[in-house]
Amino acid sequence: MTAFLAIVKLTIRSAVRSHIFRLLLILLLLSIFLLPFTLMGDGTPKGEVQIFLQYCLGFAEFILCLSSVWLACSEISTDVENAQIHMIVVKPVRRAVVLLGKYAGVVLIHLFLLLIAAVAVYVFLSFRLSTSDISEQDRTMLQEQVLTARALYRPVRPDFNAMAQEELDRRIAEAKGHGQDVVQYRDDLGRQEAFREIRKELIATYGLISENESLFWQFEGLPKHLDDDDVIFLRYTIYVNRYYIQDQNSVRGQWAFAATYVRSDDDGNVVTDLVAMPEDDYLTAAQNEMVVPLRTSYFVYDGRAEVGFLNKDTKTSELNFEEGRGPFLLVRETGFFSNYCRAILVMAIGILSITLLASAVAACMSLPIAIFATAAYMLVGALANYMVTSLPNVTEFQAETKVTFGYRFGDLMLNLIVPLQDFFVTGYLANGELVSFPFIGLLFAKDFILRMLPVFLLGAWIYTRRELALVSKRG
Amino acid sequence: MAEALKQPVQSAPDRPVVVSAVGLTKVFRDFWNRPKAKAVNDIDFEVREGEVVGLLGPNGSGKSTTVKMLLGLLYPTGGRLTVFGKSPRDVENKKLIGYLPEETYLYKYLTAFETLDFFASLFGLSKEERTRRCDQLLNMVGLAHARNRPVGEFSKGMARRIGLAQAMINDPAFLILDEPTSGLDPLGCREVKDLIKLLKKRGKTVIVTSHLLSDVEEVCDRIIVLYGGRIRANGGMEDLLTIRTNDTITVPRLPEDALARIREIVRESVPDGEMSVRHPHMSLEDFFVDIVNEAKKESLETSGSRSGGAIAEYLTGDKEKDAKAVLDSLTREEETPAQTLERKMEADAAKAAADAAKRKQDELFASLQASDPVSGEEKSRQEREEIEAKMSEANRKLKDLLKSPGGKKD
Repeated sequence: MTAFLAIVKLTIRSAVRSHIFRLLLILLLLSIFLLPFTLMGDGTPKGEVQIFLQYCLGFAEFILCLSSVWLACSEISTDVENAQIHMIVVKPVRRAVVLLGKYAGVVLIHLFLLLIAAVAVYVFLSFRLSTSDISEQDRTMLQEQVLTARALYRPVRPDFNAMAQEELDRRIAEAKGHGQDVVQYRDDLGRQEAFREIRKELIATYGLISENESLFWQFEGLPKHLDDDDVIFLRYTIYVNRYYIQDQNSVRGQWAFAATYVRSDDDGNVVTDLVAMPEDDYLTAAQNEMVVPLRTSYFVYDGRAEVGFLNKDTKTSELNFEEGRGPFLLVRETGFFSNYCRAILVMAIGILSITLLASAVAACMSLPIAIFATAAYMLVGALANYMVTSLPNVTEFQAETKVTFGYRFGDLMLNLIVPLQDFFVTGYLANGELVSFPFIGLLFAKDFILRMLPVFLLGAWIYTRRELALVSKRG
Repeated sequence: MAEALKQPVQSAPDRPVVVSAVGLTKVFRDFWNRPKAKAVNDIDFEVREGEVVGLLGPNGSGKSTTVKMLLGLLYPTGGRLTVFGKSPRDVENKKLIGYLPEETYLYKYLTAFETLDFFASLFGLSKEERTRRCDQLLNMVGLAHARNRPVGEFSKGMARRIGLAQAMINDPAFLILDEPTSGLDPLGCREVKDLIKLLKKRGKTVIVTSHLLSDVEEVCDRIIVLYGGRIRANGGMEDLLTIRTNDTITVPRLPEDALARIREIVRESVPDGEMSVRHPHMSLEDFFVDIVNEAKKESLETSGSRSGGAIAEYLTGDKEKDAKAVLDSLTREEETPAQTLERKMEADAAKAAADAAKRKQDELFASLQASDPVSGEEKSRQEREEIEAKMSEANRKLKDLLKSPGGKKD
């Protein structure tokens, strides 16, 4: 243990004296104290706080990730290249302990810096909020939409298989009704092909609402015991047609909410009445939030709720609700401070994971190659995520058809590589979304334990078996 | 003869084996695993407890590769290598080993004390023990005044001294010193050599590699000469270096006519006339050390490392100030009755040899003086003083000879 602690201490000392580390530290301080004054939000206090949380904390995390990669690589690789490791491994200390000590040293210093950054950002935010002249309305909006932690609920996905089968049956019946003998429907193979085509069509057109038509979304798993005072938010983004930016403007429509309750004059039957909001103009291609104008006990029944939208716009042909952009329901779960601490915990897991990766790579490669390999790993992770998520109607449509090589490659990479952005949760904070413990647990288990730890163990295995004197630039 | 020199020599067959290499081979390979160079080629050697072995050879002869294999930094391609009967990679074994690399790879931002403290921590020593040992070692290597200076600011010699101190931090039973005197001033060299001699007295096993052959000659019992990855010579210093076909007689300076008579006597025995007469001279190192010691008496200051202080107490194993005396007493205490008897016999033999040498010298002087009836009147006073000085020098050497346990110096 004494040896382990000595190596940890040595690594921290070495880190503090590294010029690049000092440079990154200055950038970290700038990101906390200078960046807020260079960013412009949408002019509202809410926008300003959102930008501050998302970018200042995000940039600080990015700097810490870079710094941890640099330090882990340099501390481990340089020791081998400069033959300083010779002086250590000829002492009675296991190489695995040396590697772990170096890893722990790099992690500890970065966790300390993360703590400093987190405290600084929180104090700075509190100070600005307490000294700024904010109207009561804006302050309420901030408290309800940003400085809070709301669980996000997604609508239940339609059963496209059932819908496709239903549509296929209808078409076959229709063809039969007209006395048509459609070749495609004669055998199973043809029917399967037709089923797949219909399914694709349904997925591709899901979320599209033609003029004077409506679409309803079902929500399940909402908290059952909500008070009437609890506020439920609806988050949505409406697009005109597809999402070509030149088509975007404002559209006319009407939101409707299902009020579900037990009818008192009956035998306890559950009834649902639709409560429609007044017709209004809604800005397109922008994320909006509104409070559901119903008492929660009426809106949420048995953990379920229903939201609909009626297209009343005459200027455009179709409105589109992209699957990944709502509508969502948000219900407050806990306070901002708790959520902030959880976000910092996720960042800490990110630093632990990235340092683990960099240490593993540096344990068997020279400094430039180790840095290149780690950066390439993270880049491929980020690109893989981009390849998968940036494609239109991403998940289901692409998964079913697998039309692009990019998608296949991205999917494979996502299963092997940890995307760095998994650990960037400042967007959650900025949107007042809950960073839930199951999410944190899953991230830790999936990314740290299942993906990074095996890589580290492989690196450590190579490190303990390397002929360390083969690679030194000296001696 | 050449083949005989390459055979493993067991200088102390009764002592336990510390290092054993059988058919040791190291082949360096390129990226595609093709053989690139055979650095060590099927060598056999043994090092036994208490031996000081010099590993010699020109650059690229395989010395460093052998040392690195001994330390587990490189792995043998073929053959068998054990240190204390175990693999060189055995972690527990490393508690017994001290290593001074050819270049001292230190962390530049650590101070001298922090450096030693770090290496001491790797042995799991307690804080108090670490502090005690570090202070003593810094004092021993003459860097107590630079305790809190970063080692990055050190000269090569000072860094070397720190390197030596870290190699001694665990009081190792087996020490590997790669070019221990490289970068050191003559005083430092002398101290290192003295230290190796003391370690030998304490029964420590030492492997020394050096290009400075005089250093090796002075401290080693045995040398292994490598060339092209093979052992070219392996044997005791006395066996390998003694020119048994020649004799040397050292006497105080003689008058020319006395020399002429000696030449005549010698010519009778050596008819071919292969004979030379020259004046012995002290080594440059001895001369330098004398000058510096004189300067030290005059209290002249230097900003670099100072010559070392007392040997660290934990290395002597006692708290007395006079480390050498303590070491001697410790050595005696550890001796078994058989060893004591052996040492007594060696001392007796040495005394007898010295007496014989003295008798020979007296006889030679007597014969010279008898053949030179006018010697007393013709010598100037200066010459007489010179002869007296030489005589006292000869006496001193004789006393040293008597003190040395082996009594083999002449």
